[in-house]
Amino acid sequence: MPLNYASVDNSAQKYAEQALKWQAQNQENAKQLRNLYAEASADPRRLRELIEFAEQEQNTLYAAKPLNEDPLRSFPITALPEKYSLIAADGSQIVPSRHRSLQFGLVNVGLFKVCFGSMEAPEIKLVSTLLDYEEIVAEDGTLLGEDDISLNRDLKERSLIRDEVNPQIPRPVLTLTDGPLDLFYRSNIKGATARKAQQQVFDLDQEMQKEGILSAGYIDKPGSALIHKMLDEYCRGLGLSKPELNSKKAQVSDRMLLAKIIKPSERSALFEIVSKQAGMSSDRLKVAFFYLNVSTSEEHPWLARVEIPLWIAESPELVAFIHSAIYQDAQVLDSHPYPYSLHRSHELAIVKQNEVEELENILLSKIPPESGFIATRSNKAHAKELTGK
Amino acid sequence: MIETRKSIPIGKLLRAENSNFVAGCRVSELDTPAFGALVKVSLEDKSEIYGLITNILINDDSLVRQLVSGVSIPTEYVADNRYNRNLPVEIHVLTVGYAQNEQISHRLPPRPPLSLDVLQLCDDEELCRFTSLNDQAYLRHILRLIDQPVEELLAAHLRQAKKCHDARNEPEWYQGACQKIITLLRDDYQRLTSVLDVLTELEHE
Repeated sequence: MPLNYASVDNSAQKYAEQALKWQAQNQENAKQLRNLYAEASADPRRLRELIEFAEQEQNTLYAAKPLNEDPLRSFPITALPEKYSLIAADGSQIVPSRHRSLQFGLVNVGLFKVCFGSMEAPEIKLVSTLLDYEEIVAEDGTLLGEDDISLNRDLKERSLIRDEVNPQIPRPVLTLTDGPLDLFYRSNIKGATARKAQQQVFDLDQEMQKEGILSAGYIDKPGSALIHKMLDEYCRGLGLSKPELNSKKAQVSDRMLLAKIIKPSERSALFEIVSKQAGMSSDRLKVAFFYLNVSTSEEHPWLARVEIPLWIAESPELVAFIHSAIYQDAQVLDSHPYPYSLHRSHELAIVKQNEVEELENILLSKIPPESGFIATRSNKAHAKELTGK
Repeated sequence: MIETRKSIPIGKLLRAENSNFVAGCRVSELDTPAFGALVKVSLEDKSEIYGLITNILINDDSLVRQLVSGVSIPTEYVADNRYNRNLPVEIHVLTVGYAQNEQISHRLPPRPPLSLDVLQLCDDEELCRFTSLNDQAYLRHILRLIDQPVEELLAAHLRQAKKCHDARNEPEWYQGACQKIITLLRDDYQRLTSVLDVLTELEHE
């Protein structure tokens, strides 16, 4: 059966009204917060100190902290060097399922390396890694889930992208991945696994820093409210009452807050991500970010968040280069701006359902029939197959 | 199988029927096939199917369509779309004959080639051999085409074939081909006129 459209239709009108109301409230909230943002930004040093105080005082914090730029300013793009390299990676995965005949996991990473100024076609590569049995089973014997395999994919993306850098490609080299550089957002991965992953990311970045290789994470249509959280801490620090927002659930996204401040092609000021959580590794990648308006239209701003390691944020020239390189790459798909290099990496990496089936058949064919291995699908999976769902 | 020294692989079969077939190739391989060229596919049973390239189609997809509307595309990304992305160039071929036990026929083959069979460009020697036989009967396949630029296809093919035959000191071949076309189109005055226009143009080249 498809959807019961009659039933959905009854609720659709109500939903539309709620969505409109929610958006209007958000816009009103953003307006209020913009005033507070202007007030807080008048003294960036004080704002920074307040966030640092909160950082010391609180066990858990996820907020923005202004760096040395005026938070109310936005910054234009600069000219790009004639030659530079851009390496993008994006991955997809097969998450092991107990419903399948075999439990297997796969990480597929697409790599796209372009040397601008070479006039040559970019190099493309696809790295498919069938995960070892040990990698798909948790310590308690259960199969790993989506988040764990995604973490594995993220780490593979970063190590593979690093391997693509060689002395022959023109400098500067920018490596680009889709999503945050900071692993905090995977909040349900905790303990030793999280610490180990953060250590790996940290070590990799240390290596890259030594070699002067730049990295950035691109977040399209970000929903985070790092600045809202920063303003909450500002109010708390000064003993001010928080602005009265229309709903307790209200969280004004940075995108909504800054949309009218950053002109097309420009970037916001730089902020550091204060990401504090109990049990985190002390050797963690420190991340900064800026918002980039990749739109070409004043009326329709489109903000993406660009995360960079903090050491890069300390160099205005490097920040300017990353800003311009990513903006330029997103303009290739200018009607829906998004970095072309990331799109191509994704296009390379995507695993289709029929490929999952094919891989399962390959794996099954490797198991000798006389081995006595029991490989049967769940009855539920079998029944789903009957209806093609 | 008829041995040719210079048959060049130019693509692989995508789909086929008795009267025509379509091969795919990469853009990087596109410098060899040309509109009107004689090509062949060698089958497993040692027979060969001959055809003329009637159309070369450059495919698109949603990404290319979006790029087309973009303001500026770096040269490297143009090359990416041409050489890296999996968008085969389609080579459409009109079947004009086949060879079995080294005997060339200008009739349609008993069965079409199969998918992934290799499409090869015939060399000058094979072009002369194929076009010389059977009183150029293969030309009827071209003249039967509907909704296609028959005159242009004839011009392209005759130009290539004439050059080969002239080089072998066989100027009478072209006269024979023109005579054959006139005979085949004797009941279609309108088409004959436009074909003769093209042939006149060809003679003045």
